[in-house]
Amino acid sequence: MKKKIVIPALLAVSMGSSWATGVADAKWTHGYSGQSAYQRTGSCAYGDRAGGEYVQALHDGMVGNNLADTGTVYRDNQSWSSDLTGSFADSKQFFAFAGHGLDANAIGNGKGAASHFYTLNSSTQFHSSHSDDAANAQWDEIRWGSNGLRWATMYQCNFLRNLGSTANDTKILNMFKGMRLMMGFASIMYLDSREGGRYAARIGAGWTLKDSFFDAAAYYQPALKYGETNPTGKVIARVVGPTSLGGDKWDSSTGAGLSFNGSNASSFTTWTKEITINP
Amino acid sequence: MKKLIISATALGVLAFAGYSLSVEGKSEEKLPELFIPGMGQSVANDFKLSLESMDSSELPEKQQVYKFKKFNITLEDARKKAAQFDPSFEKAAPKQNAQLNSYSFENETVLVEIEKDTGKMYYQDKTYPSEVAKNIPSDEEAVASAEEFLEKFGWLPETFEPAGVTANTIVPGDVNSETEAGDYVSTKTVHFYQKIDQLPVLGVSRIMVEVGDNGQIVSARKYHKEVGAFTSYGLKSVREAAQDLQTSKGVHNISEDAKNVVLDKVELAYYEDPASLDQQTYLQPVYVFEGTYYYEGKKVSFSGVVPAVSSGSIKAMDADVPPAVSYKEKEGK
Repeated sequence: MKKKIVIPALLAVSMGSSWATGVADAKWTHGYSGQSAYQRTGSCAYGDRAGGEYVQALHDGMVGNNLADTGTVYRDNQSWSSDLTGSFADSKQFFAFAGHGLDANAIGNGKGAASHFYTLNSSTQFHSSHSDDAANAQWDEIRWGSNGLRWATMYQCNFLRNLGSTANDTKILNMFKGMRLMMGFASIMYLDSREGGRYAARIGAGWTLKDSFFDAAAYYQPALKYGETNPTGKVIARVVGPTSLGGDKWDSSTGAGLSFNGSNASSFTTWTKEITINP
Repeated sequence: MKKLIISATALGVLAFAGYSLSVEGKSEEKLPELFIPGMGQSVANDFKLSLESMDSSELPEKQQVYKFKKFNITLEDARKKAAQFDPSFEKAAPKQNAQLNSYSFENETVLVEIEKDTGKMYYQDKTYPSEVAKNIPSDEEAVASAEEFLEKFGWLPETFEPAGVTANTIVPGDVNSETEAGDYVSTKTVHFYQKIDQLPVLGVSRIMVEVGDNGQIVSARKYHKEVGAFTSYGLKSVREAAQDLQTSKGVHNISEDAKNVVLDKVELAYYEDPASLDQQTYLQPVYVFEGTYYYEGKKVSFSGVVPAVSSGSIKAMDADVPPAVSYKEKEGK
């Protein structure tokens, strides 16, 4: 047990020399929130997933690829919806959430898609219902960029899926208050922590964040058969942001991106790649 | 003296046992547990399974397991492969990425990346503009362009076939990003999936070719590992595999409100994990279940995948234990 606790810290230190084969030399501030123990700790019927492991792998990769110094990784009981809706995420330049995701219609309160937590903004209080407000960080509760967040990665199902609704596209853009790009999925996806390491390695090698995210998905997202509730069975990766910032990479400006004001939607773009199909 | 005789006898027995194991065959070797990631949205985890209508009589008791090939590609080998795409790479000094275990050849127009162990490859035409294309080929034309490219560079094994074509889009923010995306296609991806022994290979066993304006090849990903025959392994019973489906040891897409699930069909497939060769050395068989349940009053189908090799032949993975860290800023909130 003791050994397992020590290993991540050792890795983070040693990776600085062994992984530094890319070109990056950035010192972004970064923070993470990820949940794995939905069922085993939170009795959440959605089931355990590798969200905590993903954000840890992404953090370690960011450090190992000279993109950032050691940052904060909230996992499981320490991972709360207020990390997204409060000041934590927006105080970092690079932030990622990983865990379960609910689509825009799932909760039914009109506040949009959600990142789902078994915690209730507490390390000891867990949800009794999936729709508990504190167990979900929804589109309408997230406003990123006015205090520093530039690049957000939502490693979960459905966060960038509009379900065919233009109003939902507007809700997605409403989150942009200086944030430059948001990476995510417009479909189901599968949580594989190793994808975080490749994503960071690509950014570290000088790829754009957008292409790094797409490539990591192409390498790790599995093609699995689906059923009638989602006949195409596709994994669809998506990136949203101001059109001019689609080429952001490690040496891009950390200045604020465009803030969405309700009338400048045409200055934003949605980039989409379909990664897998129903085999 | 007595102790010496006993020790010698014990050693002899051990040596014979070891010899017998090696003669008995490789099937004594335990396989690494197959990792199939779980879906990032809710699925049912408390449902009853009915297997009565499922016919599994055609399933074998044993199935071939394949071993992924390790290539140990040298710098010289890599240069030759990269030079297929740009002759200047024949004498180039590629970047070597320790984390990705790859050689990366790049100039102003082309990027070629080769993984040293697996031989996985990535190609990119860097001249292709990042914008909506004017003359995107039809799906059939995209497949033809992709096949021509793959055959030219020897990237299309006979086991792979086109499985579908999808559109990649760049949609302005004032246009519906899903319902109107068809007008904003930048490239198409031709997906090639593989069958081995007539069984589909699920997971990441794929080649993806991105085709752009006028059939230009924008990128290609040979992200599958190559395999050689290993040996056959006994399979777990279908009943045991169905229980694994129920206890989340496999993956399924049964919606969370489902209570009664009927399994209609079970077949074998293979599953390729993207892990490094050190982590997962084998291409292993899986059971693919199909069935139905009632969702919002309507009977709908689903599928589920469960590793098929008998549990006794599998080495369990170490569980990941998060570091025990406390955060002062969260205490007392």
